[in-house]
Amino acid sequence: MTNHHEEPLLFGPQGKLLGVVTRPTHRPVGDVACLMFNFGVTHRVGPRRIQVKLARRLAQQGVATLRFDLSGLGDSQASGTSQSFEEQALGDLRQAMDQIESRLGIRRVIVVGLCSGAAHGLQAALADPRIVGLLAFDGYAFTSPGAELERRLRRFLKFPVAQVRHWIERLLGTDRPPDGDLLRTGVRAAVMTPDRLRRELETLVARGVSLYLIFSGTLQSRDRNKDQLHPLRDSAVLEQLRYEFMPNVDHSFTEVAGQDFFLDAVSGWVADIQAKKVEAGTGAITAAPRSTSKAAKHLAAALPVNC
Amino acid sequence: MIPFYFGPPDRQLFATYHAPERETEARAALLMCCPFGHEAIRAHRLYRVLADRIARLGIAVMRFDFFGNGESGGDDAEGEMSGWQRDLLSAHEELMRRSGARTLTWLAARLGATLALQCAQHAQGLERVILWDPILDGPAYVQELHAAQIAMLEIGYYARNPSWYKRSEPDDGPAITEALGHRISARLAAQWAALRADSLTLRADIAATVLAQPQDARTRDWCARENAHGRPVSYQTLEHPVVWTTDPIPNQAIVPVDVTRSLLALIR
Repeated sequence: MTNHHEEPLLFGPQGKLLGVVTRPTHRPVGDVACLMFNFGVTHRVGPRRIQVKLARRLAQQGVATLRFDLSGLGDSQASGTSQSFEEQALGDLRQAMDQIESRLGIRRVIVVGLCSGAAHGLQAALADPRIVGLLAFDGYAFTSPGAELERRLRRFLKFPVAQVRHWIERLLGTDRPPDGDLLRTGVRAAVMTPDRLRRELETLVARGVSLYLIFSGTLQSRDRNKDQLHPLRDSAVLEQLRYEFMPNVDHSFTEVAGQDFFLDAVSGWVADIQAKKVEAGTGAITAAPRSTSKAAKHLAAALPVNC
Repeated sequence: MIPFYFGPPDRQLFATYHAPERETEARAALLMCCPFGHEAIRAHRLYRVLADRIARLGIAVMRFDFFGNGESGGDDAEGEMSGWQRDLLSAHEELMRRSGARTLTWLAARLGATLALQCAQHAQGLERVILWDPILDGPAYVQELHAAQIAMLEIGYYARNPSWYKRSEPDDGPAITEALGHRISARLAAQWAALRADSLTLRADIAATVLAQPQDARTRDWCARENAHGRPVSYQTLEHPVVWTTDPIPNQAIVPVDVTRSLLALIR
């Protein structure tokens, strides 16, 4: 038998949002819960079902989870309002935290943000004091020139024909819309800058929110000195959060060994928050994540020293 | 739409029930069977949209995840073909009970279609199956999954890693152990290794429509063989842009209008 119970849930205005609650059955539910949602347009189970696996792993350590679909994605219905997607997502996240509070009686929430979810998670954390932890997997990155050059070179060598075509289009200016208008809607979204990101991270750290920034090997092939946040590498805030480059985990968790490594790392971080190993006023966690599986130990050996 | 779990406590399956949005005399119901693993995630939105539209026609619809897949109970490695056949029959009974329908149609894609072929004979009240891009040859499917895994990793890392290519041919050593993030048990690998088109057949009283890409000669030949044996299998080509093994990301077809139009026309 399993040591968790899962229950579907319709919530939000007119019950348009669909989620699944996973809670432990073999021990009391802890005072912190996890919130998971979409990775791009992938529904709430996440790429390769990683969020189902993470929710069940966390239930083993007494942590309840709600994973749900934002309005208009997966099984949730469109909101029918005139809000922007960003505003809608923030509203949906607030509704989900209300459910965690009313159904589970938990007011401390850790948000798991994968890819696009990291951006929504960051804004939600700034807006809602119930969020005590934020995981940003392949969220905002401002790469060092050296690492970026290496990535482009590797990409060119792997796909030379496509790259030549891409660069011709780019030189002709036909390859992409102006920044902030990726869907060519004519509406420019707010663009994240290194300075803005630093300020927002500082705000959260000052509030005692534990931040865990994970960068996969898909974005870059190396990370020698926090290359993924190069303009921030001298900021004190990077010393007050957990930064980890996972070279053997790809963006969509294609390999099982990479999944195990990720699950070990994240469940260890959540356990630290559960145990309140957060230094007051900094949000930093002092203990490094423990890798328990054989595959994870194998991968850990390949990590750069500064991770 | 009503989300729920069903089945015994040690084999809970996640499902959504889309009640018919208008009454019809036929009281028809449709069970949607997912593909395997990552492909089920890939097809999720398409299935959801189709289910909504079919329910609007006055047909009750149920979608469900096989054990060890999606939101259903179980680890990846616990899934295997005979258990999934039982899941399908259990979902069939659940939809019969919920909808009050006297007869059911199954719409099944990829490995879900294979499972439908393998267990249709045991489903009371099953009137028709619609099979889309069925997997009719296990070793060919394993090769397809393996190639997709390598392609995904190459795009992911822009590099070749020799370890990705380590896999003996199905009849020449250890079988597949994972595919697109999904663990494959030794039992499932053996079941796929033994899966051949000539072992799959339908009961003569179940009408079947098979949709396949024009270049899929194996499926076309299988339909011809079924017809030659007096079984009512209708073969139709359905050219579509869905690449089952890719991620649901921008620039990939997620809910192609040609597919929804074709499937709705068949069901209407």
